[in-house]
Amino acid sequence: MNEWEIVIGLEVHVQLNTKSKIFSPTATTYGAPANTQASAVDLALPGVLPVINREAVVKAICFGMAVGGTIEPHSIFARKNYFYPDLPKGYQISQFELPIVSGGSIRFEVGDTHHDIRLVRAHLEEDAGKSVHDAFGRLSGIDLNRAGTPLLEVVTEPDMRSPAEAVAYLRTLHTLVRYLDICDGNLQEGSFRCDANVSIRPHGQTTLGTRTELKNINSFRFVEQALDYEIDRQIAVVENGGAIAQETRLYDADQGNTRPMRSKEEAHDYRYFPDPDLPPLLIGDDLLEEARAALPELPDNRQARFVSEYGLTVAESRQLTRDRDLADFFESAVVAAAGDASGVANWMGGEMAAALNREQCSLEDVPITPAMLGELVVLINNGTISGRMAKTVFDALWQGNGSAQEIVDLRGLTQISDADSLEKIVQAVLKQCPSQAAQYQAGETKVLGFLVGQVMKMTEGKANPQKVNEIFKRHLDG
Amino acid sequence: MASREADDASLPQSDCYVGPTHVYYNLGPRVFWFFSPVPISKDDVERVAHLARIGIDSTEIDAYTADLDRILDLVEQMNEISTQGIEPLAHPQDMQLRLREDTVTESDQRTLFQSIAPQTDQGHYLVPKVIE
Repeated sequence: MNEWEIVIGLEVHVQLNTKSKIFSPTATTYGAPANTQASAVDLALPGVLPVINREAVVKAICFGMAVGGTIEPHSIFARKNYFYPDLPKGYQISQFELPIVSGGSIRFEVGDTHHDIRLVRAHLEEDAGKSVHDAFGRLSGIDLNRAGTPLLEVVTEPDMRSPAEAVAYLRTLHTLVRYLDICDGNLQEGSFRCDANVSIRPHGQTTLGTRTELKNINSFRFVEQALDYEIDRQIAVVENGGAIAQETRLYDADQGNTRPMRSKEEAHDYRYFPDPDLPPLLIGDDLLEEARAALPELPDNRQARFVSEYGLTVAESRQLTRDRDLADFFESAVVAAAGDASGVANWMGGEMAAALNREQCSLEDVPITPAMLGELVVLINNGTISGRMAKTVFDALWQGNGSAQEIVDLRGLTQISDADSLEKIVQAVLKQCPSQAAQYQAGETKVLGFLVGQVMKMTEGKANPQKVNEIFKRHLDG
Repeated sequence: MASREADDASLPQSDCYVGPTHVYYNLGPRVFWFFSPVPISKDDVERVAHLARIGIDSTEIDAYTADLDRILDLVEQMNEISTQGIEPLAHPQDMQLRLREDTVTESDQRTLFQSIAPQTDQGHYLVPKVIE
């Protein structure tokens, strides 16, 4: 097993989140009734001409800048010719020679190992429509709503050496495109689709083995499973004296295996040539400036800043910056919490992460706002509520029952911290429980917990436990 | 001829694309398709016809082969000209791409468009099944 080195390269289709299509002013909203967002241009009716969407160009430039690639000042659109019913023109407008972005890299860590995956290119192209093969009897249904949706295809060098590394690359790229706000990152809706090229070779060999291309993978988990299966298959073929055929294979998520596409499906000779409908795309200073202005702080920088500026641990900082919404939420909440970053980080990493995970939802789906969480932290820090009450308040915030202060007022959750009131209650408990008090004084200090518990019972959990502790100790230790 | 060979020698292999009838070279920074004809065969003609989904009569293949060869001869004459120092073009007109603002101006015209389709169902265009 270990004598084989695994070589993986990935191609990801990143759907750009523009309002209109790349070459027509038609809506790109997901899930519209079939063919209601397919205009004459998308249908390739005679006489139509493509006109490129400026925003798609700016988003592609943003990506190029973020990965440190070269923005080609002069790039070209080409026709990629093939026949399929969901491609009405008989060609896809793509980029072949001179893509808009070349080079750059994606960096990430797996455990303590640093990886730097080189990008070959990122180019703009249009998506095809969708074919429905199982709902119309002996015919196929074609929905062209997706035809013409802008895609940025991001291609890596064959730099990855394990399925885990490939998944880490995908997660990093996914985080990046969401940070840049160029893609909604929705895997279920196909906004982020991956094809993988994989081969094996004996360790030490420098030439690449024959690769197969895996298509049809739509989740991070499936990428790992598909690659694992395909690598085992290739090793078995070679160890049994066979040779790997260069072919395209489809991943079948239900069966957990890969199978070759029929040769007819992959008979590709795309006969690329520059599209005469589209003169060269020239990128001048105005577009570069526009993209630079739209560029947010990148995940790596933000992670480092969270450590230096807020004193978070690297692990906390990684967790909070893996998603831009989460990181924005954190920074706003810290302001609302009068600067208590570690308090906010604890809540976000604990209760909130657990609740988000439990309900499988994202921040935008929940009623809790940064201001609410910040206020909760303030109320804990100024002694208004105890940690235990805070959990009750958090649950109420999560349910959308108002602000932290409103919930505290409404439920009478204010903590009793006033020394005189607590003194009276402590004295009452000591009177009721003389044997426990004696036990404590005889050295069984654990019994203090029981005594504090009695106070909490009498106050319905509202007593400030630290203060109660102090008062007991003053009485009993003295 | 000599000048073309000189150009060939300076080309990196990766910027070469072997098509069905020609070897194409990229002479970037702008793309220029530099043809180097290989003798065209009947198989080539059939292959190109299939790729372009053009039905041709088998009795006409020889004639098409001869015609295409003559066209390539013409291209070969152009190849005789030295293009050194001339900036390649990707588009015959000296113009650049016009950019459109990202706004939606198209409305739903499905009923109109589908009135000319041979067969539709539930908003879908129906076609013969491509995958079994």
